[in-house]
Amino acid sequence: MNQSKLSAVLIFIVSLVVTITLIYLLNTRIGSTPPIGKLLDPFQGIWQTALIPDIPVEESLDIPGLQQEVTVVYNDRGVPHIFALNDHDLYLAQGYVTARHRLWQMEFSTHAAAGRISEIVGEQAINYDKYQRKIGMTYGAEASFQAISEDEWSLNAVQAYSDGVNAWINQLDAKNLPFEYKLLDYKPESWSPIKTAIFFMNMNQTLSFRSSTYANTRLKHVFGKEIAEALFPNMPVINEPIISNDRVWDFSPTIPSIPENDFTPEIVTNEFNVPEGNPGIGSNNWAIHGSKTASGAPILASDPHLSLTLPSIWYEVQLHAPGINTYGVSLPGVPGVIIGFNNKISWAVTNTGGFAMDIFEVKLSDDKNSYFHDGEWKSTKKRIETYTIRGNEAIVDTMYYTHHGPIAYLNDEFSGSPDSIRFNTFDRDMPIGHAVQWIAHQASNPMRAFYHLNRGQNFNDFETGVPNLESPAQNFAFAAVDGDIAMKISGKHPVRFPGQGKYISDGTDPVYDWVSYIPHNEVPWQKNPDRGFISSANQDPTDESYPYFLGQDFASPARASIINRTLDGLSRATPQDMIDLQLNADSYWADEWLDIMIDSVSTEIDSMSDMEIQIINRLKSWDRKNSAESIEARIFIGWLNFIRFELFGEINNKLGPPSPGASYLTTLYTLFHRSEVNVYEKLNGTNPNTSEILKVAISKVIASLQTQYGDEMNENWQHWVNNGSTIRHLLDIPALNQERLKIGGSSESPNAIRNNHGPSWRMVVEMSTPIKAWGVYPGGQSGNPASSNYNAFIQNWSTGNHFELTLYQNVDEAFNSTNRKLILK
Amino acid sequence: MKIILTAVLALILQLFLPWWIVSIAAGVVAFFYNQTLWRSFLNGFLGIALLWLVWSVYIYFSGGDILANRLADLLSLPVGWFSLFITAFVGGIVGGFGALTTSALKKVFNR
Repeated sequence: MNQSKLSAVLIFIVSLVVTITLIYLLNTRIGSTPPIGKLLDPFQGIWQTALIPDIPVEESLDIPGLQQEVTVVYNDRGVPHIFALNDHDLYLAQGYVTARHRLWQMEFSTHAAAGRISEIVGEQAINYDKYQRKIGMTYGAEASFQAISEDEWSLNAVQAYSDGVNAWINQLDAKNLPFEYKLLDYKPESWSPIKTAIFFMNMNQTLSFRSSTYANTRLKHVFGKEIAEALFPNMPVINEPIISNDRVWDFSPTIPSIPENDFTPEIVTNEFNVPEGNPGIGSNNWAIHGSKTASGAPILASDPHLSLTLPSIWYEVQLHAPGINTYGVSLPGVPGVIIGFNNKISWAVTNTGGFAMDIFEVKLSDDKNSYFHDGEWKSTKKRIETYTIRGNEAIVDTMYYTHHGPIAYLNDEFSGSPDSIRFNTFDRDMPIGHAVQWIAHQASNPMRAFYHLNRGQNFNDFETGVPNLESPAQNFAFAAVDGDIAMKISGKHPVRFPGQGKYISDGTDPVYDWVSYIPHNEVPWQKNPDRGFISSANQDPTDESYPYFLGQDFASPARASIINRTLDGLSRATPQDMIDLQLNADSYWADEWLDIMIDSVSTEIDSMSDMEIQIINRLKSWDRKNSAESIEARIFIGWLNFIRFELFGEINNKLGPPSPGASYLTTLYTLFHRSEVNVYEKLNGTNPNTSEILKVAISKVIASLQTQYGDEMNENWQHWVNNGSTIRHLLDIPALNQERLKIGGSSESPNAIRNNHGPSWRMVVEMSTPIKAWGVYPGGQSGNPASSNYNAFIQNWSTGNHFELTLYQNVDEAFNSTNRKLILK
Repeated sequence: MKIILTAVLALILQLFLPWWIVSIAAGVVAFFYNQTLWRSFLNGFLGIALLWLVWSVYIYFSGGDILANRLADLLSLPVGWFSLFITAFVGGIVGGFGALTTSALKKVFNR
């Protein structure tokens, strides 16, 4: 072989190896880097997602499983109005159109709920997945699906919906696979009816898996029960309850008595950090009686506050079939309308809060086969959880359940691990060695609640429907064309001794067991109260005259007070008044307290810098609104937080940060010596020096802003920089997120904007004939990041420009020049 | 001519087959011509790069500008339309090596 031939052979071999290696690398997901060649291929890769139409271009489509023809009319915002001839076809079509817009979100959020993210991203998500399974997310979904399956209508609805989702999945090819599948390089699996139950668990986790039990127990152990109770009372000193005080409770149940022995679990005698619990989730709803409105018809307003994400948690839809014609928002994965209206009624929800879960110390045998309860050893039940991990072998984990529920983290699970591993993020609500009992673990059929609401004609139908939503407990506002307004709390609530569940419960003692539940008609509700309106903002449901204990640590009275005052003052109210109230950014705490705070701190004026005096003067003339550009709002909120730190810093020192934070109400009561129990004095031995603490706190706020942004009070000092909305994609990939919006509000204002939390579906419905309705959510109908409809509503949402919502009575009325018609057959 | 031929063959194959088929398309064309190794790489590169550029530009002007901006953010590129060139480059490099490989193979037999 001559020289040049040899070099040609060499070049060939090298080039072949390079080509194959290159193709392999560009076709493979490495770490979190997508397969670049496959991704950028303009024929089948991510470029093709730009060509996926938001509204189907076909005039008709063959959908397997339909019994009769279905007509879908899409309006110019991409909202499908579905006209079917029977319930089966209605839900099948709903599954199909929802999947067309939101398939990836539907699958990802159910995978996230069921602890299956490792299947998509590999072992980096395994601790997250384990946490989900350990707290019983799949266990609860299975129980709920069992209950759904026992009801023929519900099973048919979820089955038809599932068939519809699969009809779309089966139409997918490499080209029109949604954006995120291409980015993460995987494919959708088939949808199944149990995923509806899994999605409900997602809502349960967001809304009711929340507990300060562990933190409270530690606080009580270190500082004593008196301080713990003073800081976190069963009912706040100022209570603006959901159910107005004139409601008379005409029943007197037997309430179990508080156990005499105060139980101290073993875990608090060890050295522990107390991780901070989830921040509260708030919402508003209200309905105003016709006697107080301009049109004479009741008006309902809905404003659930959730984590704001892209795609949005809500999907707008109209559902029309014999016996049903309803419009509102649905959850992608759940048949039916969750918040909305029909020709006769409208309804809206806020989260009740309260206690939906208890944590029990478990006395477990060494072999884990039995646990001690009520004087005897009882058998644990085992449950095997298998984790499929992308790029790795599957992991199998055995869970142990007592009659209370799963023992999330076993004592020996982390033996020998350093604290940093033992106290990782994922056991923040769940101390090691403890069982969790959660209402969401129990069999219940939420589908039935929405069956009645979607088809409801009057209060009786509303009253029949609501109790079916056993978990998560919600405050349902109601208004009807016939003039009724009402508020009714849903949920299954154990009958508790006062305070039960606030601290870790003794798993061996039957006194802490959930034995009976509050009868449905005794769960708080109210119809047509004298004040002419009903409202809720996650605050305490009742005053102390209500005989049952539902929980504590509800939302502060701030939002509720502003809403009730405003509604009280309204006469001849219009829908625009309701929209204005949804956008209200008043600072309740400044309205109530700023004057005496300024009076008090003014006595320290001699020791203040020019800057501090200037800021105090600005606060004096502040309009007390949390406007986007308000520097005063930013400083005032910071002031409250620093006051709290000054007052209760000692708790931080002893427990180690972060510690449970006292409410603003408790903070201000302590500062101004109004509390019955002087916690500050018990901690520090002296009374708080009000003016000095105010002075120190405001100096620290100003210093921290100066450190961050310099001495000039520039744009960076404005409220929105710290508080405006950020709306993140579910994967939190910056390229897919909505950057911070320059908008006002605060978690303590009706317009509860706070970073990535906020009003997720603002809706106002006037119960006239025909019904008039307006609504907007911060997102868009399409989940496709390559579509302009991905975030099309955000501008309207941030400026409070609700869209008009039309409940069409038939196809012909729905179909006009701007709308597009699609026949499914 | 070689560039156009490569692009057309790749286009036809890409309608049915996975993206990496472009290396075969470039390779097949290169095999039928006598050219230096460097020229074969360049022609393969340009053929595929051209095809991917034209196709992505078509999508860009069919509403793909939003996508181009998101891609640019994802890939840390300064402006949206840079995504077009990255796309062309990635396709081109695979095409170039495909052509280089068969061109070298041809030289093994020819001499």
